[in-house]
Amino acid sequence: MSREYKLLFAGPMGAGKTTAIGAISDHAPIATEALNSDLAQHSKTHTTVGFDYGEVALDGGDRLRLYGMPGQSRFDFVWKVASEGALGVVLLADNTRPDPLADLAVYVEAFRPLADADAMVIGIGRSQQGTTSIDDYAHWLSERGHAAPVFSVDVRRRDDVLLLLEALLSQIETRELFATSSQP
Amino acid sequence: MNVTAGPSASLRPQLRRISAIGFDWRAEVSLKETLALLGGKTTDRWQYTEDLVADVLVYDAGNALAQAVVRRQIASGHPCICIPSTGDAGDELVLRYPFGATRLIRCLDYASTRLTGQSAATGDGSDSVCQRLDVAMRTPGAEALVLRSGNHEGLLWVASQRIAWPVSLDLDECARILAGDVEIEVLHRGDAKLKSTAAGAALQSAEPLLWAIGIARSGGHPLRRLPAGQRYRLRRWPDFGVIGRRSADLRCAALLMQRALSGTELASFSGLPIGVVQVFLNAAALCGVLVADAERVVMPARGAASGRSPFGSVLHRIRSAFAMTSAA
Ligand SMILES: Nc1nc2c(ncn2[C@@H]2O[C@H](COP(=O)(O)OP(=O)(O)OP(=O)(O)O)[C@@H](O)[C@H]2O)c(=O)[nH]1
Ligand SMILES: [Mg+2]
Repeated sequence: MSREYKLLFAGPMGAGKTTAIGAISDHAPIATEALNSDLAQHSKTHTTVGFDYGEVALDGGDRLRLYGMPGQSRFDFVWKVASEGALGVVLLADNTRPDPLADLAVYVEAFRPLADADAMVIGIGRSQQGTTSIDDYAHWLSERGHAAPVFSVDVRRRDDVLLLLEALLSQIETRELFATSSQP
Repeated sequence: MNVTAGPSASLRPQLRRISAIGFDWRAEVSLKETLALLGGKTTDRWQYTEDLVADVLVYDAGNALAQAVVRRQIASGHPCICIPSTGDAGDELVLRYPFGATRLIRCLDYASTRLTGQSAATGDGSDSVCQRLDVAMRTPGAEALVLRSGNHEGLLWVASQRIAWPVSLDLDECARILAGDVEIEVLHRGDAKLKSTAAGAALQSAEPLLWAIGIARSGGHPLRRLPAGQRYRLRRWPDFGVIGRRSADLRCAALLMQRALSGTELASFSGLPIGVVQVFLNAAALCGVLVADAERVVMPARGAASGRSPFGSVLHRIRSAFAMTSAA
């Protein structure tokens, strides 16, 4: 019987969730894009309504399912349900938003169980614009007891999305390695 | 028909240096091992160096940083034969991985004929760029360092690790710096040069450049301030910058984020050669993200465990779906 594994992408409107999934999915992301009626949040013309969905075929017939979480925080109950059994979460931030650290706080809190299990990675988009540095993000996280990797990325580049994915895999592998081995 | 003479008796074999860039660590190890098997079969004697200033530079033609370094090597005028991993050029000008001994001998002998008369890269035993920079940054009272590379000069602020550099430290600029010599001068508080150097240049994060210097200009030696047997952890994930995604770095970072380990333990848990791990530690130390753990190693390192884990097999298959290197 083939099995399915979930990988989540989350972040505020326009952070690049649909773009990131499209960069690594076997097929174009399946998403319902609608005209953006919330121009106060973001000036982009279209936004995803509900989930984005992509997938990657694995050896042996299994699948890695890629889910983009709906951006608006009123959906946080959906995020929590989706987290259950997920391999991990890729949080995307947009450094040009008014308060990117406040944005991040919402997501880090909602996905705390994954963060605590070293199954979270953070990608900062448009990091050259905006005034928050990668160091500020890392510092902010460590003050709150999180050790998630933070990278400056442009998710339109597949290799940047793979950097996030590989960092996430490395963390999970390490967690499992230490869970199954005694102290060195 | 012309008969080409073999190496003339008057030309004594020289000690020459070969380096590689852009490859997975497995390819680097393979190159070193093949090289070790060649003793006496090549015109000159060849030694592998972790430093990019070498007589022969084998590079992965598909790697952007490697391409940029090669462009810079050529532009610098330093005598160096650059050999790509793929291409249509003759046998002696392409070196595919896995590197066969016969092919390697042909490439090296070809390089010897091309290099004859030109001076060999100086392996004068002096400190690597990484070591010199590390010492300079830790000089008591040092406020900033002047860095000079070619005709560019900039100011690296020690406490903030930000750098004023005349141009953006993008792939090409980092490659240019990595390919040549870097002059370093320590400035103390009140030094007039603090105001005059790189005046007007925008401040950038120095971490991507420091990481690249740690990885590419460590000369194969651990930093003197990193004693073997000391355990380290990472304060946070480093910014890999232009060096980008390398499986070995990601694996080491994940391990040291979760547990303090010595170099030997890190090599054992990651399945990476100690040389690869050492360069990672140098880069992390140079960027200031490496923290010594109070506890020193008393027990010999234990190998990676083989216990079953819930995600173990799928992680491996996700890696192979994206052609990522798996843990050894
Ligand atoms: N400059 C820059 N543009 C980006 C980056 N990532 C995404 N974009 C662009 O930003 C726009 C928004 O990206 P989406 O992928 O639609 O964002 P989203 O997170 O799915 O947004 P919603 O579905 O509305 O929540 C697209 O036009 C992308 O091309 C980035 O890192 N840098
Ligand atoms: Mg979307």
